[in-house]
Amino acid sequence: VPNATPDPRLIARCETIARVAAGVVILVGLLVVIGWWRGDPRLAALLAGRFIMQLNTGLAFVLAGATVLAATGRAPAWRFATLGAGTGVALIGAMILIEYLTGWAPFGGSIKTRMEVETASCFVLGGAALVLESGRGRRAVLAAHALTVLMLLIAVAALFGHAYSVKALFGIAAYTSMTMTAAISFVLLGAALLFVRPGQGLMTSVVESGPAGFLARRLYPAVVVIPILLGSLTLAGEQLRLFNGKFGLSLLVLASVLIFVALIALTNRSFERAEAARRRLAAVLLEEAERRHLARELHDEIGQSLTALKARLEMLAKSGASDEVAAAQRLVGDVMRQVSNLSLDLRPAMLDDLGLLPALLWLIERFSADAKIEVAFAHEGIDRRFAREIETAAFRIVQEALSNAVKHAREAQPAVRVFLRDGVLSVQVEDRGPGFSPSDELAAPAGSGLIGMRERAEAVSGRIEIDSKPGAGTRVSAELPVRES
Amino acid sequence: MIKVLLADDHQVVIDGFKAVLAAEPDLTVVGQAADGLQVLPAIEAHHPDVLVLDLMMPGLNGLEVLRLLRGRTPPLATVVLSMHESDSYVAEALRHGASAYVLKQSPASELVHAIRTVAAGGRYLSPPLSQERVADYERRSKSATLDPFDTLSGREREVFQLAAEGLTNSEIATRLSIGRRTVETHRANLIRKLGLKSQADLVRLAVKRGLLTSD
Repeated sequence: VPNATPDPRLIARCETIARVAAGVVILVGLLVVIGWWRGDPRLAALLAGRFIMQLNTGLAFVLAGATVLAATGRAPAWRFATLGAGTGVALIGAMILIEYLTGWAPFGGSIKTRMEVETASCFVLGGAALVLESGRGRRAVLAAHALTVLMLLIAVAALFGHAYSVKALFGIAAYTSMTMTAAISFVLLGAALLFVRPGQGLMTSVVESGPAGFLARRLYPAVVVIPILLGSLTLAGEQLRLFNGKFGLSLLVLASVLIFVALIALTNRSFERAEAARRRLAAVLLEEAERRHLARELHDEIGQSLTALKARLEMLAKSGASDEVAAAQRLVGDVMRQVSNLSLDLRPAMLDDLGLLPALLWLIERFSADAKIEVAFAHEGIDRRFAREIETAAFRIVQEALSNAVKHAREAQPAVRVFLRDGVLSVQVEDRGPGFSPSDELAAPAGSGLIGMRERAEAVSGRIEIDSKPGAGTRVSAELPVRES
Repeated sequence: MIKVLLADDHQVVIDGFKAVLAAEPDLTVVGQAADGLQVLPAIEAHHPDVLVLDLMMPGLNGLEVLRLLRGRTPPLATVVLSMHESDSYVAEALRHGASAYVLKQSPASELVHAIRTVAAGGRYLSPPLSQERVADYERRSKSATLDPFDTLSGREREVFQLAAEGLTNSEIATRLSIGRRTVETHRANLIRKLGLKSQADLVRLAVKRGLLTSD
């Protein structure tokens, strides 16, 4: 069953998103500060259109962005930096709000340098979120994400006010005193605040490798982006007088319905495919478990009873019994060997008892003996134990690839290489047999040779390459990441 | 009189071999253990001369028991009794300090012979097992240092060849009908695996390998 654990690659990607978003926020803030400092507010105005961002807004953005960037570092010292800077950002916003409410300006701020109410509120929310995220508790992060979402709502409302051109179209003209640049910066800051703690709070399912994570990654962005995009298109259409308001609205509704139906249909198909693969994998794993059970049962129960029976017969033979007893003795010996072989065929006991290398050495010797061919085997760094799933996957891939190699040709000269490098267990099996066209084999029914190998590799987050051309032999290379416990 | 301790998690096996050993005038079974954890206390209680040990038992397996017995003075001679005919088990048992390895499918008289042999300080392996086979297994289980070029996957080899011929990633992607990002990944992997530092290194290796003519 595909596990619902956080995927480290997705976490890394989230942290990159947080870093980039925070970087852009810092850049915007710096431009505003530089523009103010050089007495050239046009620099800030350049970004903001006809609205001008205030100096204190710029400074607060730089501080907030730098804090998020710092929070992507893992050193404990950053926690205090986050705590301090977050408090600073929240205080800047809070002082402005107090000034609006009471007229009291502790640091002599005047109307001219005062930032807008929504901007100040956003900084209070964002700053508080930063302070909360410096904590490691689950609840703290959840609360931080809730505050971030609130901040995002204010910023997005302001953004819509700008995008839909302040004509009281959507009744949010009151929010448009926040500059476009500030609104975009808050959206980026919000994204940074969410992505800096992936796998926690509201972002838990986003980095999951299971179906919940897949849904979250596919649907959240679509649900946010598609309506905004369609809304803008409708607006543009109306402004260009392609259609009037009601017609535009019906187009918007129709397009939303079509796009979301298509999105759900596509998602559904990926789910069906994933589900089919999951079922095949579950069947493979179940079979492995059954094989282990049967192999143990044969060896431990039947085998041991036969051992005892044999000893008894021997006693009987010694006490002068007939040739019949001697024959029975030989028969029991044969049955014991058959039981032992059957047990090994199901699942070699050494794979569980001793590990991958002893099991592979046994397998290769047995192949060489049975098929009367020389199998070249080279290995490096695998004389140790790995997780059971890894050992099973590697063993079964070699077994399957070898049996494919010798199935058709004695002159296949198969070579097996298994080695551990940089935390990756690699398995390679190549032969000079007749080869095949990979598309033929992959169209084969589930559970057969190559598909089975692929599923084994993917079950342990590994990958497999099967190269073959008719007449040019076959080469199977699998790379299985080894999780060190 | 040789005092023997039997350790096996199957009572039928213990009873069977007890009967066999009881028929021998010079052997006496002084005690038994039904799992790995009982073996050491049983040794303390009965002071056997020879321990007959099943390799795979619950609790503590035979190999671990052997390891615990290793530093003992005086050393306790041990006969491993197992159904596993694979050399890997034999090699492991000998490596952990067993003096003899007897297959359960061999005639029971072999166990008697093995007990007498190890009690006298000797070693014994049930045919078809042999010291040569074990030595051969030990040789095969030795880790080799692989030729780095052999560690490349098929795709990585193709990318290597084309990169050595001087093609860019985009050209390689077109030639192999795969994505450019995939080519970049293959290229990064092969450079890491081969320990290369530059395109010149890559070409030099290709020439040395005879994959590229040096003209």
